[in-house]
Amino acid sequence: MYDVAIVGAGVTGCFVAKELSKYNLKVIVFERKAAMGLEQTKGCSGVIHAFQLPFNSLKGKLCLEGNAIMDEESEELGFSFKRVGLLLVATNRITKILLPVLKAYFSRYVEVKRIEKKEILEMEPNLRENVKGGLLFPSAGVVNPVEMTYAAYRFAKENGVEFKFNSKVEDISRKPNSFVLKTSDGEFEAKYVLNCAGVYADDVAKMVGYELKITPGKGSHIVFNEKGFSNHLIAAIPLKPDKRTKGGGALVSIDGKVIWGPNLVDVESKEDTSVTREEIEGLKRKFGRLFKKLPKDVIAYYAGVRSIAGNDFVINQPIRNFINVAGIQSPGLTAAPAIARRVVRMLAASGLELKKKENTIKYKFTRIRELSKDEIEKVVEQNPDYGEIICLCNLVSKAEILEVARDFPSFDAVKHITRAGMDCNKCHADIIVLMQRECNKTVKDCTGSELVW
Amino acid sequence: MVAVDYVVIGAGYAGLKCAETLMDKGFKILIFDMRESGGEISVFSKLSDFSSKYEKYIEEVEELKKDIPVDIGTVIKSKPVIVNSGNGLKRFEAKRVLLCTGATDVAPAKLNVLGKRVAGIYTLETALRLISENNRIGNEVLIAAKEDKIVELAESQFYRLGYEVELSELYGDISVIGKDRVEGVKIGEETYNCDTLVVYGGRSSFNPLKLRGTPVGNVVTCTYDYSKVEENVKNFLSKI
Repeated sequence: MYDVAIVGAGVTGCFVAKELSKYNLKVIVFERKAAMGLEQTKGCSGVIHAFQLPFNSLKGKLCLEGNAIMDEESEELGFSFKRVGLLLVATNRITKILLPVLKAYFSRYVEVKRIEKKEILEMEPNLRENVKGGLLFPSAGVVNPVEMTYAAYRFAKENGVEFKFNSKVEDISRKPNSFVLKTSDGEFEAKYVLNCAGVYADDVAKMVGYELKITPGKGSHIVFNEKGFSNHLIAAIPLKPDKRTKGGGALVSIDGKVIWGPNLVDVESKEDTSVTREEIEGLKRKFGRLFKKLPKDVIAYYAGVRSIAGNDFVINQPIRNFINVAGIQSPGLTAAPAIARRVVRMLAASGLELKKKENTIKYKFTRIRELSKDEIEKVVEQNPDYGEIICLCNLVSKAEILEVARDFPSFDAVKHITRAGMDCNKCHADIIVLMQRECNKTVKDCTGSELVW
Repeated sequence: MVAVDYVVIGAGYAGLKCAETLMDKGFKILIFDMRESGGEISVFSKLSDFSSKYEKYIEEVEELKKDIPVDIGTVIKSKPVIVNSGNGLKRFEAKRVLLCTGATDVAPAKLNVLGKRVAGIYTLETALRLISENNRIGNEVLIAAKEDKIVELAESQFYRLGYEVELSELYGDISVIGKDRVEGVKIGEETYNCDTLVVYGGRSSFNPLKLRGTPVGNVVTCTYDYSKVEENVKNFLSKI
């Protein structure tokens, strides 16, 4: 009998698992795909938002709380996090006039600075001269969302949480004091069930008789490899805010690449991550008008599918000991650590006995690109595979690739977690050949589609 | 710290050729490669159609490999030269650094490959590397490429290995159809049935760490046409 069963190993499921792993509990996570964080999480923008409107909504509150603890989380779990700052710019007279009002309003909740035109252009010389002023939110930041999820997964795993991948929860039946989860790996009994199933949270909720409607909302992005083109998260202040989306931005990735997006397109399928010409042109028009020129070197187009359940997150307990953590769209990445803490409090309130472990194991990642020369010497001495660089663009060693590949024989998992092969295609064959040798089979992504036959 | 006249980065055709000439002239040199000596010429030597077309270069590289001691290691800095390898970090002092790091194929997105990023989409370079290691990358291959001699060669190579192959020029958007794996590709008004898409739209120089040095060979010419690489190397060496 497990204390808690978590359905779904996206950023939400993994952060809840991580938080629960600090207590003396038996926890199990089911993920229908081959690895963690490769669905909705992978497709997001990687932004740690400074705020989410409205401030009094659940997502608004959890966003602020998540943002505030992100340094602590990144330190504890070992993922990279950079507060690059959000620059909201006024591009017309009306929004310029609004700046003092907006500043007064936002400063009640979040750190914000008024920035004059001259200063903005010094900070972002590629912006067009028609920028009239703006607001800087220094607490906004960026992460690599899959790396962040992997770090939470690793922490949870090291501290005793069990993970079942390629394991689909097919049905949940209720017993007087527990639930039985019927999965493709057999039956498991747990006292509490957490529904963190992302775009499929409606299917899981239905298994216990709760109606939840998740609509998929696609968001596409363009990635440019011109590092340093822009250095902040930049967006124009809209004349009329859209209730459903913040509208994306001219963003940056954790390693300084430029990301423009996302848009919001309602789609039929929960797995529609296609990017169309129309969307690309739309993004280029929307963000291109902020800059003097387009960034160079398009290297990727990608899309993610938001799980939308109305306007806010749905974190509730429709039946005793079954908690929905659903409708986690933007700012879900930012909120994830705060959601995890909230869910733990809900579990405690429902009678789960929480006893903190005396010691938790902090997993230490070794990443060559983050090490000093002396440190590199040391790790190579212990494991010569750290001396063999596979991806030159991001300085990723064979040891780092194998560490992930042994857990997940998925090319996308390796690529997103280690960043190997993210900037160009030069090392793709090397990675695949290495994985074929180590894992016998390499899949492209979480869908299990084979990369090499 | 070991001091040499030249450090050559990359032991493909250009690197080996430079190393040979410099050694003959009595210079003290070191030559490094991330992988193994031979570069992509070694890849071509494992593919029958390519090995006849590139025969001259393969033979030359085979000879050079015998004579030139290449150190396996990744040069992560060029001033001074810092190399990471299984033996840890090593530093060297070099009067001059030659960048013979070659070229890499342009990314699919830059060639307007749109749709879902499913399995079965490769750059030509990745596809060649994989089939040279006896991996099968699919059954029905569509090669969408700009006009280039390498494309016909790739076509006959795939055909010889038992693939069904179709060719298309690169124009406009290349829309990939498929849920998890390529199931078809739409280019312009034409729809192709295939399970694998190989794209080629040119190459660019490969020097992601922006190492400083004198570029020689394919890092300058960015091509599959080795007569051009050869010419560039000759030009450079004639000035030494």
